[in-house]
Amino acid sequence: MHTANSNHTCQLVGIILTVLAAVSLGGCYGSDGPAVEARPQTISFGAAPGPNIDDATATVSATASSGLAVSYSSTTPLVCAVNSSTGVITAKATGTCTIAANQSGNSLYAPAPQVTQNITFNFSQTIIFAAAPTLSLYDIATVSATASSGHPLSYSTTTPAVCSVNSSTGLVTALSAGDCTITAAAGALQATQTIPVSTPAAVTVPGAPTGIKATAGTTSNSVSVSIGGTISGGRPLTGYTVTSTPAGITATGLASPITVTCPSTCNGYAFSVFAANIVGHGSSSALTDVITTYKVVETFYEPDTQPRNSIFIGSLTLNSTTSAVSNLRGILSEAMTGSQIAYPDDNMTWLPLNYQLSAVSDGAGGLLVTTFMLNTTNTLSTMIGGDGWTPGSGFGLYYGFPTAPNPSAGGVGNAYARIYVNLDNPAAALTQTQIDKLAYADCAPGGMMGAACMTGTTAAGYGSVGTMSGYPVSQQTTKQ
Amino acid sequence: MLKLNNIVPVATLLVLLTASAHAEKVEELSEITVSGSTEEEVQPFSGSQMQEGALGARKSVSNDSATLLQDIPGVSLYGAGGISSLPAIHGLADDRIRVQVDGMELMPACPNHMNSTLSYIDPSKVGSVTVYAGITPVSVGGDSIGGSIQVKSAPPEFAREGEKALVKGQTGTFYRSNGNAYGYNYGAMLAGRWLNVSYSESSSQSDNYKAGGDFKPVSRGREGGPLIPGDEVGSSAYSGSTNREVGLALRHEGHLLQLNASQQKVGFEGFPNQRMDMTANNNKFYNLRYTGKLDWGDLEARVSYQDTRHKMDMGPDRFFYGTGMPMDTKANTTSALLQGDIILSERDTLRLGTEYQYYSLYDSWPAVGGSMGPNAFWNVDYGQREKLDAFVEWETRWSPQWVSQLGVRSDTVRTNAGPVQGYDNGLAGTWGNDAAAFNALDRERTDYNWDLTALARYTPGATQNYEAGYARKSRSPNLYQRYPWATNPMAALMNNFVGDGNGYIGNVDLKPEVANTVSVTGDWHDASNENWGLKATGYYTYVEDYIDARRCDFSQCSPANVAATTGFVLLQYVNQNAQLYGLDLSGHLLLARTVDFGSFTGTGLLNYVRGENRTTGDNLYNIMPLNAKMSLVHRLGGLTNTAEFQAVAAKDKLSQVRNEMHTGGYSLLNLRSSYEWKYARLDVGIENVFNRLYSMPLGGAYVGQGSSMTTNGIAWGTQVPGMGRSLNIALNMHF
Repeated sequence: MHTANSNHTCQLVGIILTVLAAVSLGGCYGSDGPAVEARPQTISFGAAPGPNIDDATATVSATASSGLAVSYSSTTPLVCAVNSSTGVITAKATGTCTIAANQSGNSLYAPAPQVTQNITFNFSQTIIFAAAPTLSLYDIATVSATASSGHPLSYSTTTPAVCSVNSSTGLVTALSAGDCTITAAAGALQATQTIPVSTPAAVTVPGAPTGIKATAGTTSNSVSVSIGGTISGGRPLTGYTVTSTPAGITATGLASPITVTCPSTCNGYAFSVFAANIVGHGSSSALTDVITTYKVVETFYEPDTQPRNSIFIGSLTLNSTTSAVSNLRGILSEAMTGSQIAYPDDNMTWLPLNYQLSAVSDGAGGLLVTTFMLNTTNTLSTMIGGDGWTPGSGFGLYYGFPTAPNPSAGGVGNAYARIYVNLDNPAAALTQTQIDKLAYADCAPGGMMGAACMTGTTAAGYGSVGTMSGYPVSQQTTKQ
Repeated sequence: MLKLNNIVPVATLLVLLTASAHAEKVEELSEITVSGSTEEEVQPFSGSQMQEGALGARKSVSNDSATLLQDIPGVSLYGAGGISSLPAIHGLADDRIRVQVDGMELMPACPNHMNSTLSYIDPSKVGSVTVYAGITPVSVGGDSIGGSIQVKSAPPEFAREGEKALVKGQTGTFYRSNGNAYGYNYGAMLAGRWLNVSYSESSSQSDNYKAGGDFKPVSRGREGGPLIPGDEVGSSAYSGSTNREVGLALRHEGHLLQLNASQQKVGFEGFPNQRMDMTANNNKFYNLRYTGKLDWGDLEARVSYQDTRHKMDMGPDRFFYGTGMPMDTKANTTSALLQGDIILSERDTLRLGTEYQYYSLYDSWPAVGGSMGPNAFWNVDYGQREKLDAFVEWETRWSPQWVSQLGVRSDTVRTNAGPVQGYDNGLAGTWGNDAAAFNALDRERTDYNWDLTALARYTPGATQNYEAGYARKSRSPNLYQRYPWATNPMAALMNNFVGDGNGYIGNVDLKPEVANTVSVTGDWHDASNENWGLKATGYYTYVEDYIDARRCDFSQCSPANVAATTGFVLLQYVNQNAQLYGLDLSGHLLLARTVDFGSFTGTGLLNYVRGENRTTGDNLYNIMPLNAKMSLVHRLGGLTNTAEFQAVAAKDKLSQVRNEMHTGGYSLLNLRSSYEWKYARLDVGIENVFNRLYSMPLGGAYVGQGSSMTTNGIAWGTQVPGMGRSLNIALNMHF
């Protein structure tokens, strides 16, 4: 047992208090050690270029105080695009183009704060008519004009006694001999085309209708057949008759377009048209397949990049006669890029996907159609099997891994989006089973995480969700 | 400073000395040794103490020191890696409780606390464990709101005056059939009258363990890797786990000076409830400690230094993504203690002390390309946590019946972190915006905390005693609660030290937790405490500014994250109020004792704890459901046979904010036998005799295989299961 000793006690208390005092004065607090923090840097733009009217290109130049290379991006992709390394801007439309400059730093320098520069592009507006059709009395024909702005045009006639015109289609009907003057307008901008209307030398049956287009109708079992022109034979047209091949479907109408109703589906049918006047009916037009253009918006929910999702926006051409899809092309967003702004106000990088290289049946009346960024299907790794692109294969690694360079480091990276086309009713809402078969893969630099590409799939469709947990949630298909 | 590279030659020398000494039959000297410990072996206030003898059965076949605590009332274990369980006391876990190894408060250096404090000491080295489950005296606690755990190596031994040098050695090995785990340990000690030199080493490894049945589909873990059976727990293996320690002790009269240098190396340790594994951990620590019995009392002074290099990546059961996802952490901790136990009188003891700790942390993730490059990701850069404590504790023995203890402690805690960067700040929505927002903050915080404890013990006779106490305790947030900044799920998911599979985002503005606890204990037993005993502890804790979590609803967090009732989610730490209360019951009863058949003793243990978030009404996360153990222990000479029955209720009080998973109730039967000779001990046991499939209530979410880098890469809803049937055998010898 110890015994108390007041002197020693006081000494110990003194020692402790001394240490406490010294420490509390800061003597023992650790001094600032070296931080991993790199040196700061800034970016400066040179003078903003001032492109002249109708100039479609300009070049910006920015430098980093570190001397490291600056990368450029457009935050206004609808107005302009920019080469990320050269700063060469390609204008797409009139408006203010905003270019952002970034420098991501290295082991010595911290990333620089982003800076932006605005450049204004102006394009003069023009409307140009295509060559004028030939018109005789009671003929119908189509005029066509385009606006340099890309805006839609409306048509009208300044000679209503001579001709009439459909304001949207440009379909002209000659009513009397004389000069038919058609005006095409886009806002305040206008242009005119004058077409002489002659009187035919003889009265005959109508000629074979031309410019026949058959597109999907407003219902899943109807087709809309439009006629681009008909030589009347000198007498007013009394109507059109549409017949099908294989035979069995007939429809009549007084004017274009003519709606054809099929018993259950119009798929597999081609159509031809003949016209009639008081003299009789003319010969039939050539057979026309039912060809319809659809717009597709496909969304993959990305839980790990919110609020940005992977979105494919594109269009396709469906030939319902042959059940073939062509020209699936569009753009795919890279959800890891851009600011924290959701579509449609986003500034994500959008990849062009213009190579439709696959269309396979799902075995249930639909097609799975895939469009690629490059003219090859090589997208995902074949290192441990797989064909290089099928959704769910390659474990999300880029094609050529590990020997080929990483797409984010100068290698070649591909991307694709797979959509579903319901051949019976393309505009119908997709079932969950159909949604489960949608997919995308993005092995472009903006979609890479190490050697893994961003992908979007479902466990039900392809065994797992995407590499960043992305999965398809919707596809809207609408007729254009 | 002693370099660990020199350990092997030292070890060789010691082993040779040991062998030669053994050849000279010096084992008889073991009976004349004296302990170098300066501490009295008394049952602590509000605590439980287990000495080496009581630990024997557990430590022989365990490779996780935390498992030594599982028979202590009020203690439960969070599942983690094979050697890194996290103890919880009365529902408060991890750094809410203070864990010291040989007096050192070792710090984890990992966003997942993979290198937990108790992983730094091998079970074979543990000499005693003291657990303060109720009210922790201020001289033991500090910067913690739960209890305290003190794990100590066996004290150094010295030869008596006039006797020859003391030479001792020990070696052991174990095998666990489930997971094919095995390991070894050995050590040697050479001691004279005033000098003790020792060396010890242990190593263990294990394959993945198996549950008692299929708990998930058969699938591949890694791209193109082998199929992992439905009953195999992916990422539960570990290898290359080695602990080495060299010790030097000098004793002169009442003075003892100890210098210990230790190294823990882990080659690989899988974590089935984390989204990556530990691919390397190299921890070195040095501890210089003086204890002296002086005329006026006891004096302890200690200086220690810890250096940790820690690496994580995707283990072999996970997708590797071509490049892996390396994460590197380095941390250093310097700490010092000066404490005096001053005997003021026969009645009064005054304890004065001051502690200092400085912890620095660098947590960065190297670039691997694409959006995870071109720069390293700085998760916490130049994180600092600096602590200066002082305490005064007054213990008075008013009478043979009454003892009281009153203590006050002041903790000043400063934390800070440097500016950060993402892999590519040019990807503003993914990395840049969050980094810029964090860098714009004033990140330095200083907390002035104070604790108060008041304890009283009443012992009316040899067959009963009672304790009651009150404590106000404080804890400042750790660096991983204040400074992780990324709301990108891929990054946030890597910041998780509770094993729920969710992602966590720090909160610079977190305030310290302040707990007010009242605890009452009654202990009834026969005079020798051998024939029967019953101990009951009831407690209630109200925690102001308890650090819980809320759903992240800003930056990259979506409305779906806020509303989700299933699935993994992103959370941000937040201060809320909470309460915990419960009851611990333990007891033993000598059933029979005969000369021919030995003694038969029944033991029982029951724990109940309830945790509620008083701000939100939610349940607290990972609260152990009602559980009980009953054992029948038979002892005859050196033979001890134990049949242990364990029953655990279903966990249905779930944390909704974390989408915590339900676990079913279960019961297990374990059988263990041991036999001790003079120089050897053999342990044989069968754990989970009936190979029951069960989910560990505190095991966490199973994310141990497949695509674990992203939120939904692994399906939510599977809890980490417990181990299936395993035959364990261990042999330990000392000479």
